[in-house]
Amino acid sequence: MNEIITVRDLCGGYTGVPVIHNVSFSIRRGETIGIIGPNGSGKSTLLRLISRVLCPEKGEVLLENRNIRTFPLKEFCRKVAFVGQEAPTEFSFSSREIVAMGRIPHLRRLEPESRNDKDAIAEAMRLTDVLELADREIQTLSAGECQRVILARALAQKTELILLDEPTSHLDIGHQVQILDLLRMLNRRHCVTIAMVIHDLNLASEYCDRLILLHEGRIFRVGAPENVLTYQNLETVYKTVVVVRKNPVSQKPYILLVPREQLCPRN
Amino acid sequence: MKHPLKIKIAVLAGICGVMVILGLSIGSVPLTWSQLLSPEYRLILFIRLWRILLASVTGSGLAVAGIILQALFKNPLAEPYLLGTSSGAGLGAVIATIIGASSACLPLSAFLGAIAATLCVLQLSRIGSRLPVQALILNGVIISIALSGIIIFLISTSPNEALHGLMWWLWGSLQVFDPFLLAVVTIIVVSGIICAYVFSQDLNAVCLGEENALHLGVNTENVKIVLLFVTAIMTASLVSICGIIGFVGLIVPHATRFWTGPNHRILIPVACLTASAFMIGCDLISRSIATPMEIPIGIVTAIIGAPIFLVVFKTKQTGKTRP
Repeated sequence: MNEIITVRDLCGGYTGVPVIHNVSFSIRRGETIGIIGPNGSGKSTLLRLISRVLCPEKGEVLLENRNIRTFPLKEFCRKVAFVGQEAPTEFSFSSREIVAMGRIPHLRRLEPESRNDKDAIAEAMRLTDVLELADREIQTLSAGECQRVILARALAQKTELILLDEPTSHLDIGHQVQILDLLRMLNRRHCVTIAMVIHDLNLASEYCDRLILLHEGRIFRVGAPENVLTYQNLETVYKTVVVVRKNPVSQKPYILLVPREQLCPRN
Repeated sequence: MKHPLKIKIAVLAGICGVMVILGLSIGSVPLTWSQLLSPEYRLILFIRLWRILLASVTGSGLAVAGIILQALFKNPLAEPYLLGTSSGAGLGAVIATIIGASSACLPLSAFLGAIAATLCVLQLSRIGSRLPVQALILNGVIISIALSGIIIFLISTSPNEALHGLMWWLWGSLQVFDPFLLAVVTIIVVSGIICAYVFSQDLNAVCLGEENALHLGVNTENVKIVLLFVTAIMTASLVSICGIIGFVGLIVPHATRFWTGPNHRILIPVACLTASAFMIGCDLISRSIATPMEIPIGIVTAIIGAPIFLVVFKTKQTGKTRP
C-alpha cells in the first residue's frame, strides 16, 4: 500500500461546467507532490475533488484503496487536512482557538479537549512557531503569521496527508521559503505526505519530489521536476517563451522569463 | 486569559442577580419584602416571578437565535427576525383578530404565522438540498417587507377596534397572561438553547467559512438545516407570547462577543446571562418609568440598546486600528 491517494479517470467541476477531464494519478506515501499549470487549468478544482468539496461526475478518488465518499466525514478529516487560501474570518478568534479547531474531527460534540488534544495543539503551534501568537486575534496577524496559524490548524488534525492550495501566494520570498521549509521538515521528519497546488514554478521545482503539470483540465506531464519543467513543456502549456537553467546550489531546474520585446528586438 | 473570563462571568451573574431582586421588589403595588413573602401576597410574588422568567427566557432565546444566525450567515447584522418570523407572527395575529377569534387564540395564530413565513423563506431559498446564505437573507428581507405592508394595510383599512390593542402587542410585552403557555415556551426555548450549545463546536467551524468547516469534518448544510429549524421554532414561540422585541437578538450577541470572544462554547451561556440581565432591566424600566402606564418593552430595548450598541461598536473599531 504505497499509494495514499489514487485518482482514477476523474472528471468533474462545477455544476454544468466540467473542468477536469479523465485525470488519473496517484500520490505516494511520504512524498511531496506539486500540482502546477496555468490559470484555469483546473489545479484548485482537482484539489477540491480530492478533498471532497466537489463531487466527481465520473471516476473516483481512493484514499488507502477506499473511495473517499464512503468515509464518514470526520474519519476522512482525521486522515486528510486542507490548507486553503482563506480570507481571515469576520469573527475575532484567537490564534489558539483557530488551531484548536483542528481537533474537531477527533472530538465528539461537547467532548472537552483531552491531554492528548492539548498536546497536539501545542505541538502544532510549536512546529509552526506561533506559540507567542496564541492569544492574538486572527485579524491582527500579518499574512505570513496567519498562514502559519492555518498550517498549525492542519497539523493539529494529525493527518497523514495535507493538501494545500497555493500556500505561499500572498507571501514575500522570505515567508515563502519559511512555509515551504516547514512543509519539507514535516515531510521528512514527521512523514507527512504533502500535495500542493503551487503557482511559482521555481518553488515547485525546489520543494516537490514530483510535479503534475495540468493543461486544460488534463494531465500534460507527471514526473520529477527535471522531466516536467522543460522549456518544451512549459512553452506548450503556458504559451510563453522561457529559458530553463539549473540552480547552481540545488541542481534543480529554474525558470527564467523572457519579455516578448527581447525576442524580436528589430521590430 | 482564563481568570479574567471567570471574573467577567461572576460579575455578570452578580448583575443578573441584582436585576432579579430589583424585578421582584419593584412593581405597581408598593410592597416590602416581608409583605411580598407573606402568604396573602403570594399571587403578586408569582406574577413578578413569572414576569422575570419570561424576560429571561425571551432575552436568552432571542440572543441565542441571533448568535446562531450571525454565525450561519457570517453576517454581523443578522438577527432572529431575519427569516420573516416577526412579520409572519404579526400577520397571523392581525388576521385572527379581524376574523374575530378570541384572544386565547392569538399566540397560536401568531405562532402559525411565524412558522408559515419562515417555511416560505426557506422554501424560496432552497436550491436542491442546499440553502445558500445570500438567498436566505434576501428572501427573508423581501418576505418581511411584504408581510409588514399587508399588516399595515389591514390595520389601516379595518374598522375593528381590537386591532389598536394589537399594535401595542406588536411592540412587545412581557405580561404573562397564561402561566401554562409560559411553561410551554420556556421548555421550547430551553431545549433550543441546549441544542445550539451542543452544536457550538460546529458553529465555531462554520464561522471560518463553509468550505473550511467541511475540511474540519463539519457538514455545514446539515448544521444549517438543524439550527435554522431550531431558530425558527424558538423565535416563533417567543413572538407568539410576547410580541416583537427588537434589538436584543442583535446587540446582546455583539456585546457578549466583545467581552468573551467568539468561541460559542463560552459565548452561548454568557449571552444567556447578559440577555437575562438586560431584559429584566428593560422590563423594570418599561413598567416603572411611567406608572401606572406600561411602555412597550420593544421601545425600551431599542432606546437603551441603540446607544450601547454604538458604544460597543465604536470601542471595537478603535481597538482594531490601535497598533
